[in-house]
Amino acid sequence: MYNKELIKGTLQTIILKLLSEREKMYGYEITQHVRDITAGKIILTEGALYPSLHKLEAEGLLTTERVRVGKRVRKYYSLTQKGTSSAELKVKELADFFKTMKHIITPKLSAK
Amino acid sequence: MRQLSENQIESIEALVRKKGLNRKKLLSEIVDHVSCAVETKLEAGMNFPQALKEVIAGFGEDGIGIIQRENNVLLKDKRKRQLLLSMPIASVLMFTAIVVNASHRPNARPIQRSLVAVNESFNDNINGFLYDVTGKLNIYATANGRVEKIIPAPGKGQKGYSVILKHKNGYKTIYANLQAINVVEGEEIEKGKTLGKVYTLKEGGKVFFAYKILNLGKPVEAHSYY
Repeated sequence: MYNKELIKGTLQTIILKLLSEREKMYGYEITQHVRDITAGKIILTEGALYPSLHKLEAEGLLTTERVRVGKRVRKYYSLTQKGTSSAELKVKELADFFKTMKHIITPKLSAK
Repeated sequence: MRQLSENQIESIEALVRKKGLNRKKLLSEIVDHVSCAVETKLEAGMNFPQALKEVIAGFGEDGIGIIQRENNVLLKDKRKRQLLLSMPIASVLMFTAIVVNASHRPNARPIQRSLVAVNESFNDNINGFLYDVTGKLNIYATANGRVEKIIPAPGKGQKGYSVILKHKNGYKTIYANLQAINVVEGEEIEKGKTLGKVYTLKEGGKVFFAYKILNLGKPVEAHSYY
């Protein structure tokens, strides 16, 4: 598992990216999906995930619908148009960030 | 997938509430989350109490309470934004209210602007504005209102009239020593309407014109009414 702070800065991007690949997801589904595709290396905590979802909703990037499932009510999130363009931007930005980080992390052979 | 019973869902809800989350929409979302996680553990062969305990522990110390507190912050920001949005509207309304109000609130300009009251006294029996007037100057209503009374000068040998206007919000204005009255009792008039002329004994003679503003029957020190 990674440092909490590392995940914190990329959580919104993770959410937006996942939702851009699937039409709609609910909170628990997002945690499970992230765990599965990262082989358990990234575990989203509920205390971080839900506030992020709510914030994205408040900013108009996500829209929600409530569906009755048996005796419970499930809240599904999906991207708005604004969310779709934001997802693209944020993924690009993160990819660019990784590239830049590489310059810092990878030792330069020519430097000496 | 094993479905939880109604009782089990209720006990989950009670526990989530106890951990500090009680707003209805948040509650249903987190109860569903916990239920899903518990169901997964039941599927793997765990019993309900143990599964619930582990799932709640997985939220971390205060992990449930923080969801509601973060949500509180969002709601607060939203309200603030709505308030900011509504402010221009409110200020327009307020401005309109002031302008509308202003036409009902008497000012201290019953006579042409260049003339300044020679005396603004609020202690003796004038209790108002006294203007030193030359010639037959027009006297204007200082606010919208109704002509309440036109009173002839009381003393023997005295001529001229006093006009009393009644305005909204408890104001009255009194214009003393007028002649050539242009209005009648009971008439609704607008601010700026000519009430009459200052009474002068002879052409070019120097006379006084007295003006008073009453609010709820009391003379008002009306510097701010200009």
